[in-house]
Amino acid sequence: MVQKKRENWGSQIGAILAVAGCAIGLGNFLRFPGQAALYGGGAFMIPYFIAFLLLAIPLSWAEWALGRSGGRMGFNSVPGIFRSAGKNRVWAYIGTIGAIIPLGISVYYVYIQAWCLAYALQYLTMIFHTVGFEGFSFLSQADAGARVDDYGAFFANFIGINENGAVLKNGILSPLILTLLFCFVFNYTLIYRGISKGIEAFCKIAMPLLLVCSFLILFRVVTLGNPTGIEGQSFLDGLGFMWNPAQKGGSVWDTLSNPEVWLAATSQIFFSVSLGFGLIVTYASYVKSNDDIALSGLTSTSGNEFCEVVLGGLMIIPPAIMFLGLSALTPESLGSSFSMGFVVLPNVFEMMPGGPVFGFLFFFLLFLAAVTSAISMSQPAVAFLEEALNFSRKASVITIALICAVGTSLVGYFSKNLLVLDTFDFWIGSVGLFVLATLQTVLVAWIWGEDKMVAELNRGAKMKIPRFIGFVLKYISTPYLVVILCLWCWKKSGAYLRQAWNDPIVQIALGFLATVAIFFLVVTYIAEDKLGGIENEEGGES
Amino acid sequence: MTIGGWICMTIAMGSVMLLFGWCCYKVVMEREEGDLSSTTDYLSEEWLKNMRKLRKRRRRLAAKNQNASKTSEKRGQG
Repeated sequence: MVQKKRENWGSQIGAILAVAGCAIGLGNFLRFPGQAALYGGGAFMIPYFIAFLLLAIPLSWAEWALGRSGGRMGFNSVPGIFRSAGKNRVWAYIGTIGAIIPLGISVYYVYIQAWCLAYALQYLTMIFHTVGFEGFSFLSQADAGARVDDYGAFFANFIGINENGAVLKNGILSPLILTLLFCFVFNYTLIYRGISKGIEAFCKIAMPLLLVCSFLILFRVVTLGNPTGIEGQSFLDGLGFMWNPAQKGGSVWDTLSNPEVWLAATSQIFFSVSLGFGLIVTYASYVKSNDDIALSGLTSTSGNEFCEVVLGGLMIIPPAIMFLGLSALTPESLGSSFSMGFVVLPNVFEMMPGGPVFGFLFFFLLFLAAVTSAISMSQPAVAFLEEALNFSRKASVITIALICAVGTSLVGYFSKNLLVLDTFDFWIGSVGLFVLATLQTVLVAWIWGEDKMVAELNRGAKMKIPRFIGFVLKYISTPYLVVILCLWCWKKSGAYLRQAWNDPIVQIALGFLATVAIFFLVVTYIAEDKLGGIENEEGGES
Repeated sequence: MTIGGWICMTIAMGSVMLLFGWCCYKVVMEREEGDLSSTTDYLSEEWLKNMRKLRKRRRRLAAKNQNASKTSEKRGQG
């Protein structure tokens, strides 16, 4: 009997680092601290941990089990994996969402990755200038176009937030476009090299380096004391702003009885752990048959939480309070990752002793986090084309890169108020994720079966997963997710629907997404037989 | 920083660090017990069984299509 070799991760640690890499991103360091401070401080952690136990862990395990099971059946694409589990051709089409969503996110994520690299290079410039080497300069004053100490204006001008086409004003070889081109080529080179030699090899270097940078910054922050000497602006005051449970004169009960807090905490966990992206399912399909995926899943999820709660919880808000005071942390800056990362923190680094060094470390850390996330987001689509159309890896990578290039160009050109980026982020990076996660949970818990999920998790596992996890997934996680999805859509979608109706640029962006979706659906139709189409011997579908 | 803040922060960070630390310890221990990374992994027996079923089904469909086209040819000649 002929046995067929399959592409695998080189080691269990490699798989863990890759999945952790796709989960750990800007949200861990920039979104979480702001959300916690806005929604009740320490009391926010109560709904946060409840969501972690009832949603993050069961859903993460479900994705690992589903992915590895599909991988053992020969499928590495989400449509193939879904269909092989669902035993119905409809699931192949539903699984197509799992190829579209991460690709749609990668389109704007590579753009943000370029910002992080550009800022890191600018801080490198400052370090060189500080030590007397004037020869290197990434951004000239002319490029900045604003007073160097006005970081809000600098950021707005740099990314072209004030008018469409602004990023092209400094020519085709402007710093932002150069960093964008570099990020594009770098990402797709890693993806082209494959799972083991590309993605895994890079994550094995990038993830430890990311942690080293974080600890260096953390050490600096923790040892600052009260650098300005102003009362109420010490490191402990900064911690208190974020962690004190009764914020703004309210009580813990006031926080916990506010449904917005539960929605914010659940959304934060959901987006942070990379649930519903199709990434964990795809990555898990490359795990070996007898590896311990229960432990791998728990390790990558807890690793993500470590970066978020411990590092993000200590590194961001306290120095902002220490140097800038409470007035710098408005609800707008707390609620926006971009504002926190690219406006508030550069002000902090300017005032911090050794600021250019720590500024470089911080933005380099964000760049590494963005790369590991961005490369993971193209892999599902690449695997889909390889599997469905028998494309070679080169052809798949080039096709996906071209699609991504068109989307990124839209994001970059229509930069006024980041309208296209915001549109993609909402429809794909928020609504799409919730929808896919809900459908995936229904597939695992109600169709494939929670017994099969537990059996797959226990395969090769040293620690046995208790069967009640299946019960939790079926009767707690699924309704919890459906309620959050409905609440979230009800709360957030009104303005975006009006925009889609009225704004032609939003319509162009949605048109691009629709075109990509149609392309993937057509490919699924063409390759229906290949994508998990194994039904009963009579030829009917079970 | 209030006492409530210290308690929240300690519990949150402590539990996350404990969980992550325990997971890392278990991964290292499992690795020391036996490294499977050098073994080549193959697709499952289930995959082979399903591929046989798929090939059989394709052969049946091809035979059915062939018969149908022969029948329509004869009708055309008649």
